[in-house]
Amino acid sequence: MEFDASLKGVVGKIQLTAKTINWHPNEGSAVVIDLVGVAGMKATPPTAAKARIQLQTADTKYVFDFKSRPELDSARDNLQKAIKTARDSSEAASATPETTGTAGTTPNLEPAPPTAPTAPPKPRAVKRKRIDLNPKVLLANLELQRDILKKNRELMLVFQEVVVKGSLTNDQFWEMRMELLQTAALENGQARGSYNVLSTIKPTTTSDNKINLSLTREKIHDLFDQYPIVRKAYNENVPPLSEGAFWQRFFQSRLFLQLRGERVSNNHPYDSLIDKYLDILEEQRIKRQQAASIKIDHQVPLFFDVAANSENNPETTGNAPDLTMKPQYSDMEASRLIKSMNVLSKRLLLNKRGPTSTADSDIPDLTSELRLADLQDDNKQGASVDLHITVPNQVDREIMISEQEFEAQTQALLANLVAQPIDLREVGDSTDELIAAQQQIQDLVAQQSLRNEKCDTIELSEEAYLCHAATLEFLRHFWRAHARKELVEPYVESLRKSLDRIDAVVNNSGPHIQNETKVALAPLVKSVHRALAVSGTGP
Amino acid sequence: MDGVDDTSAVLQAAGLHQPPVEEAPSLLCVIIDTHAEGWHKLEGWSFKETMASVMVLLNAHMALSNANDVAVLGFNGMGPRMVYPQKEDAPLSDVKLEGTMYRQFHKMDKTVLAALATQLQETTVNKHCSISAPLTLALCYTQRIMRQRPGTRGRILLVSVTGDVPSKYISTMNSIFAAQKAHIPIDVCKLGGEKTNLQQAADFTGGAYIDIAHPRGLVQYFMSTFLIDPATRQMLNQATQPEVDFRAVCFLTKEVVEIGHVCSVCLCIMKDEPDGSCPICHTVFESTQLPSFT
Ligand SMILES: [Zn+2]
Repeated sequence: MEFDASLKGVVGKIQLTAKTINWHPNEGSAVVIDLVGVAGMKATPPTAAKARIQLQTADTKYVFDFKSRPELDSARDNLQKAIKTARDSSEAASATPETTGTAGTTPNLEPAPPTAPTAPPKPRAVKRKRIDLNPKVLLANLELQRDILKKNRELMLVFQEVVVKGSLTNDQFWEMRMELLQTAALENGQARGSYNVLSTIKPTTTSDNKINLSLTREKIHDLFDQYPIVRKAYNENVPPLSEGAFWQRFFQSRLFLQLRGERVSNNHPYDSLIDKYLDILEEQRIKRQQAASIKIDHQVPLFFDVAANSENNPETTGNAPDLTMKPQYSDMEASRLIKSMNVLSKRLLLNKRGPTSTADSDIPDLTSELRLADLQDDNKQGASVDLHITVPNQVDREIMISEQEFEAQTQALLANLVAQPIDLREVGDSTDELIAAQQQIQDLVAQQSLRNEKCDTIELSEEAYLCHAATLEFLRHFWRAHARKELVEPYVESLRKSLDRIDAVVNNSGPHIQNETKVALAPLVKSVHRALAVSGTGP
Repeated sequence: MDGVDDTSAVLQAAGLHQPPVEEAPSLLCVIIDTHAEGWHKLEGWSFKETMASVMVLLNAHMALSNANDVAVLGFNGMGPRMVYPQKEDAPLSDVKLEGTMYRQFHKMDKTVLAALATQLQETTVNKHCSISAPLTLALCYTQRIMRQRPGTRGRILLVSVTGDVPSKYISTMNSIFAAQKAHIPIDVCKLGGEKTNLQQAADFTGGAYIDIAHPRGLVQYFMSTFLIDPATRQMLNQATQPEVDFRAVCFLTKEVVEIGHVCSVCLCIMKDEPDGSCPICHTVFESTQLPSFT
């Protein structure tokens, strides 16, 4: 059933199905409203100038405009009927929420529910949730912060050290890590994709050698959604078959195994009723394949449509197809399975696609797509960023001595150089100095070898790493406050305590790494002393 | 010692002697700081004694392989100057032999000394020259030689007695990064003056930095550290100062800063928080973003 109706000024059609109201605009993506989810419906009175129907769901209000009064009336009546039917069957379904189909030698089935399975109240409309990245909101979101800490053990340890045991407040800690909060918020805000319902239906064997399959209304709904072929089989066979009998046969069929992605052995019994749909499936696949070569089912701007260029087909450029797709390595059965899995994955993905990813259906202007707009700008502005370096050489440190001194020193240098010819045999005549020089070189080499070899391989205690991280945290806060000319006193105390902690860590570390720990933490101690000196409080 | 006399050249011409792979030509480019003021401040050690040690280094480098080459640059208030090789080279036969010294070494030593003396004679500008100037010249020269003779490995040794000019910080860093890209190590032999970005020069390029504690033993530093070819150094622990001062210089005040602000567009470094817009590129910052700069 279809009615012409526009939503928010966009012209489109309302389509009524057993479970949903689908509104298809002439351009753009469809809006799907679950019939059961409709809380109220209002129509403008016949006297009003506009013919409008307002649908209220739990969270949204939809206002449809109709061209004429008779159209509105017919749509209203049909909508009312559909909503009522949907509600009734939903109540019936929720009264018997679970059907247990037991497959095996002794069929033992619960009576089939009287009505056809319908959807549980589940919002289907594709909606985009706005993710709030405002620092204030994120700082208040303790749950999000807990989540991050739970996933990141190192961060958790630092958190415990500086917030739980230390003096930093929760906000101070997270302010420094706003990017972590924002990333996590974005991650959590992303929509989850659908799941493959067949993979969640797992037969269990009971003690008396019966096979149990648990099947809920919701799973049946998803099954029909994801595998239209099952819906087709159900619709065509359930009367005369009882629902229980249908599911029992379905779960034993080759069709089920194939859809589930399992290998179907040749001696698996063939159910002529259910398994004929395998052939229909194959026909559909071939038809789809043929159609795909003509029709593009979704528009992707040509500029980044990988499938639109010849390189997308690796076989033409000499790359062999993947091993699993080679007929001689995997039997046809398996590659058919893989293909059907691919089709399913693609369908799951497309169902989840947000409204904006669909490009408009206009024939794209290919040339303009390929044009790089920002390079076209004739206006020079934006083509390059000019640096207006206006800083004068304010500091004149280039001349440091008087003109007379300069003159005298230059002359002295020249005189020294040319006074007598250089005798290279006199170079390095002082053995003591040579030895002293060599000593310095050897010290440097020794330090360098320590740096190159030891620091990378020696594993310090966890306390040392933790103490290092916590102290750095305080240092970061200290220097930030210092740079912003804020109070640094709150951090001075923590830094002072850090020095004691570092001492403790060094003393507590095992004798074999004590010296290494001390060396490793020495720069940290130096940094703390530096901060304390800047704060004017001394160590 | 085939490389010292002409033996290997003769053998090579006859096709009898192929130089081994590790004997790839190596160019040593020595930059001499000739700021009179810097040398004046050194006590108990002179420019001339330094030059004597430098000459030993140059001769030793030449003696290692006859494919090796050297270049010497001097720089002071007059700017950088190519000291060796000279554009117009006197023929070898003009060099008068003194004692038993190898003629080529003798000629090189004489040329270097004479050119340095000329540079000092002509020095009239009482100013500090940034090391960026001689570094750039040395890089250009090295690059030219490397192109003329593919396979040549270049390196630079800087003998420094003065600090760098803070206002030329950016140019200096740029030339250091250029050297890093071209895989030309910069060794720094520091006899006096401030240190800041010379440590970075050595650290970034994989060269050695040494604060000379015993100038009278200078030749020892040259022989046991700076003479080593970069290819060989990869197998050794280098004698270089372990601590590197990574501080940058504020573009506005030219002060060395530990914690500063960086413009996200032009990457200029500022000591103080900018006032709404970048003083160098004039990018306007959003006020909400400014506090998170540190
Ligand atoms: Zn800027």
